[in-house]
Amino acid sequence: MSGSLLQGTLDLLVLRVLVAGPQHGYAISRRLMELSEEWLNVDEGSLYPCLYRMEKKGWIRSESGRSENNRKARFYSLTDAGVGQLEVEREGWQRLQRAVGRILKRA
Amino acid sequence: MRRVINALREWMQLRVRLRDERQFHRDRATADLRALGLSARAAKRRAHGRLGSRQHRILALRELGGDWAGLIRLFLAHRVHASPSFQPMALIAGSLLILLLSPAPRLILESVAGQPLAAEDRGAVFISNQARNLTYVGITKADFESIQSLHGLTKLERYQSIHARAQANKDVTVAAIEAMVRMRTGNPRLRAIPLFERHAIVMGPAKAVWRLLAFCSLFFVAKFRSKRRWLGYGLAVGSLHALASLMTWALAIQLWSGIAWSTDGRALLGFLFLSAVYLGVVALQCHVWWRDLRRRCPRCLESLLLPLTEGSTDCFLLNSATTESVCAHGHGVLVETPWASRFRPEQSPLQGLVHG
Repeated sequence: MSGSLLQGTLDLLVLRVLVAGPQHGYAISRRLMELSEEWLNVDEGSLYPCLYRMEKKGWIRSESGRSENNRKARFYSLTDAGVGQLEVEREGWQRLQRAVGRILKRA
Repeated sequence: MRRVINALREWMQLRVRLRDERQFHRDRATADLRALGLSARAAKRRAHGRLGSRQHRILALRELGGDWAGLIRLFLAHRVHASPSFQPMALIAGSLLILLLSPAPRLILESVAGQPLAAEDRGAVFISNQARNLTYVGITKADFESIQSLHGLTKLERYQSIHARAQANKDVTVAAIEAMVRMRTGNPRLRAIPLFERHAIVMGPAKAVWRLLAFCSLFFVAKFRSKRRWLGYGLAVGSLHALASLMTWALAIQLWSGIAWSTDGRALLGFLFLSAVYLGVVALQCHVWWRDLRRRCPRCLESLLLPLTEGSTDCFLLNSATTESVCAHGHGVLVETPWASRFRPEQSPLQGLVHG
């Protein structure tokens, strides 16, 4: 089975990872890999457009800071709108999961 | 200018931010891979591969608006096109581009100025062989050499590689030079004419159009003389339009005929076609110039915004519809009929307030 991400799922995953607190792009990417036990193929080149897109929509905010090795990095954190959007995305995903499950059971 | 700088700064910041983030990501990924035991080179290559190819980066930039199309969108968002300096800058840039594209940029400047740029060129004579269709086809090497020591001519040299040009002495007429050239070479088809006469013929139709427009603009000056700043701006932009237009014409003639003047049927048809296109372009320029000028505030020269329509389109006599626009600072007001407001450029009423 392919480990590639379903279209639009990256937003949900990034929002969920950011619940833990502000993180930079690389940390988000690493966390996604760890949580999926290296199974999910998060396209790292797509991560930043996704982060910018969500920032434009007001779901996340970004600010400059220093990373663990004292390098300048941009840290992303969830906004209130982002918390609400996470719930919407989560519900959408669960509905999709149930629908796919029903199809697989009955077909 | 401020709007252009703001838009450019925003665009550059976006690109720099993406570049910095990718760089940070790549460096961290390389360090982690090296910690797993990979060589520096292999780790770097693998980290680079995980971030995607150059094509991938271009797609990301496009998605974020950091590409050229994104820059144009930013220019529109910052209303660069509505700035008073947009048209003058665009016209100056266009004129410079014409000079860059021209095979003989000096000739373009001389054609527009109506005289040679250097004082010593003012008595210059053009010598060439005229074909049956009146086209100048150049002078042969033998003929060129035989007129080298001709009395009354100095500084004889090749002109546009096939013709010849020389400086005529003050006491000798051009007709006399032509007679001497023909006698010396034995070639009755050789012509000698003042160099600038040819430029005047070529530029004549274009200059006539703009002379007519300049004459018409006298009425414009009389009508709007109380709005001095606005009028000055309008005339300055109009002059730049005329300059760009004349330079375009000169370039078109250069590219079309290599400045070989001909009156045979095919060349005449081509010339008429070129003239018709030119007239169309001048009409378009006047339309753009007037449409932009009409919607500028007489005091701050900012474009008028916030169109508000009053009245009814059904009740033409008692309560006819009019559209009122105002400048972002509140001093310029324009009231238009429905017919005139049909040609209003598309714009959001709030754009000027947000970025202005």
